[in-house]
Amino acid sequence: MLALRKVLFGITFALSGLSASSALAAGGGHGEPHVTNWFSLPIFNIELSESIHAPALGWVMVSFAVYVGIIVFIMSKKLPDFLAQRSELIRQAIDEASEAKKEAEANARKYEERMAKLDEELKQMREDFSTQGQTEFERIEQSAESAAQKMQKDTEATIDAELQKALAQLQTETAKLSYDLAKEQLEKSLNASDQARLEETFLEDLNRQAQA
Amino acid sequence: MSEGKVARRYARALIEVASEENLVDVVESELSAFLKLVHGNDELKQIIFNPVFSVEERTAVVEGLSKSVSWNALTHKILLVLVEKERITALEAILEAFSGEADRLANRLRATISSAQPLTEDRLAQIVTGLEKRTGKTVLAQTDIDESLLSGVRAQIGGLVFDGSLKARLQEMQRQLVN
Repeated sequence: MLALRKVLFGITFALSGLSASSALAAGGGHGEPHVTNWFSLPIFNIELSESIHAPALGWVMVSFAVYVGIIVFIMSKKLPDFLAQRSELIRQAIDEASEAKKEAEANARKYEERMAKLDEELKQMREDFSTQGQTEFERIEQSAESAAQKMQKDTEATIDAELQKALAQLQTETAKLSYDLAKEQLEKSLNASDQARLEETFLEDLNRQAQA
Repeated sequence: MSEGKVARRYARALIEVASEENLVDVVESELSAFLKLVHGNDELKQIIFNPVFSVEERTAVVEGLSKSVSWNALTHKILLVLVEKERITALEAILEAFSGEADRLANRLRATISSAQPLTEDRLAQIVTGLEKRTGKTVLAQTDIDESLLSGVRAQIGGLVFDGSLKARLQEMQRQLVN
């Protein structure tokens, strides 16, 4: 910190000296260089036109030194921290870059290995797909077969039920027709002796039931 | 109280008194005759059953009928009580409950004997005897002509049916064909 401040002061004075030398050189022109105005300002006793051609070099140097001193004072407080932070950031960036590089190298190695094994992997994948496809095919085939069997069974059951229903309807219709036909025939042919015979039968049934 | 309950109560009371005096059949036939008479005459029916007429008016009509027909005192009394208590409209239900109770006491059943053609008296008697043997009770028969039977006889006692008709035989044949 102190060393930095000394360096900065050195630079300041060197620049001041350089400025002064320049001013001296600027003030000559006819032989040896000389300073015509060190500290005289136009507000005192020098003519305005003369002050323009010969500025007060002493004040310029003083003001420059003050300016440089302020900068040095401010920078001596802020600059080390700034530089330290900057240095840390750069180090971190370098570390990260280093890590990334390592990772990239590892990835590259991994991919190289995989590339080397790619044929084998592809072969394995083909085999796996083939096995899976076969298994799935068998499953679908079995499922379809099962569904077909169920459909066939259901259809057979439906046909059977419909057949039974139709048969029952046919039997009912036949029975009804037989009943109607028999009734019609009997109505035409019934006579008193039939009535008597049925009465006898009724009595016989009653007596049989009474004895039972 | 519902008419059915009222009818049963009156019937029970009446059967007790009639049984004691041995007048069950008499009371039953007289009440039945009264109902037949009332239902056969619209004017009489209106007076007896229409509440527009007063108890006195109805009582007077029952008294008049009783004198002209000379009912038993018990029949006369029950009719007057029913008129007075405004329960004469329940007479039909009372008579039905009374008949049922009377039948139970007399160990008899009422049968409806249906036939396609009228039965001779001998045949009806034979059938009644057969039913009595079968049920073990006295049977009171009521005959009915039912041409849908085609031929033969059908007897019904409550829920018990003896069907010897041709129609029943045909129906049985039809059932067998279906099954």
